Amino acid sequence: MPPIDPPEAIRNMLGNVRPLPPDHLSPISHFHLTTTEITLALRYVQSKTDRSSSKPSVANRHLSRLRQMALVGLIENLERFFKELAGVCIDAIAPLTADDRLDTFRVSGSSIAGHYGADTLGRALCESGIWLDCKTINERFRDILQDVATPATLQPFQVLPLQPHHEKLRYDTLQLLWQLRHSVVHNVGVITESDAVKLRVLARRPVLARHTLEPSPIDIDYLSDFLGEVAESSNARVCSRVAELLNRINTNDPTLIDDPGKKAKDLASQFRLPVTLAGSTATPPP
Amino acid sequence: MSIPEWSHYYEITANSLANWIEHQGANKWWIIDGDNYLSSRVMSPCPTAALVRVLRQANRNLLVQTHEPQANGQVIGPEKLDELAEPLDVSTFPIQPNHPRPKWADDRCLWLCWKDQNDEWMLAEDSQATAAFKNVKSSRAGNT
Repeated sequence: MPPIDPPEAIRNMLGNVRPLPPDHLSPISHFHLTTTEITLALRYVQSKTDRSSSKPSVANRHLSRLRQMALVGLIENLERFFKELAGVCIDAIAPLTADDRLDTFRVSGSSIAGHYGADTLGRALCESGIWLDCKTINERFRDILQDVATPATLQPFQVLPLQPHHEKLRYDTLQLLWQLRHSVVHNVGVITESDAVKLRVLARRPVLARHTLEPSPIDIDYLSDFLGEVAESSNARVCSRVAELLNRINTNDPTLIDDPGKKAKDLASQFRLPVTLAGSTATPPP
Repeated sequence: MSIPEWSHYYEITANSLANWIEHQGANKWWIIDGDNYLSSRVMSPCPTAALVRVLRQANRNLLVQTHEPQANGQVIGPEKLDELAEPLDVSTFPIQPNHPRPKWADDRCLWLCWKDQNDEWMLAEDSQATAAFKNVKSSRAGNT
């Protein structure tokens, strides 16, 4: 048997893949599925360790590390959701407009070749970017979903509003989570002195520096529920705005959208919410 | 592998399953492990209302695994599921003898598959999430 060459084995790892699930074209469905996979992977390992005679302290130590990894996975799942959601918006609106709404995306010449592989303009512009803070996410959605009229008569769009109070609390909590993700990803869970200062400001409570973050099982449940709320409310807000813009486009020029009924059906499937275009309402498939 | 290939089974509508879940209590949380259809429509763990809503929209039939030898695909109603649901430690994660009994051991589960699909999946009560979200405001739990 020939010796194994580790660098070659690492390259071979790229072949260890599985196809995306059938519902991945809907950002909110893809989000739900991945959150479930991460959460239940932890539940499964926990159940396996609970039922045997393995020493609890050993199991807890390993599970704690897994929960740290799950925390990052859950937060990055929300990042991917926002990117996929923005991609859907671009594909729905951009072909019907000729303004500066996509100028928020800067694609360097050297990366253009890579973008030719993406199958839609929305994915090409969004999937390689970094969407890890509320301000950036808000600015990008504000530009993509700006009014189609000149001068604008619609309020600038906020996917993560700062008002009323419960929305501000959600915004601030999400900012805290982006920072927490940074600590786990870049310092393998260690809360550095500089992380602690930022986290203290964001959480408005003392944070121990030079300690390792150890989320509990219930922490992960609350985290996934919170992120689910953010995703579902953002999905509904964006769906409503996209429909509003498309209806304005259709009112201004009824020839631009070839088949409003089909467009509504496609969007209802992607947002998994009812969408009304040109008086025709489509509901998501069951 | 589909349930009919290795087990006795009954058939039930998604609506009947939803009725049974609803009957277990509005405050209960559930896990769906292994089904892309439901998991892409509702996150797990999820509250009763969210799961019931998705099941009622499904308009499909399911097969439910059983040890009953007379079961051969007969259509059952929701009341029969009380007999078929088994604690997790019996059906899925047997506890080693003399080992302390974990809290989840009494959570009941069903093994199911969609009638038109092969892969089986598990529906289980989730006592951990039920306790965790008992007094929590959550839009997903419908109590905000």
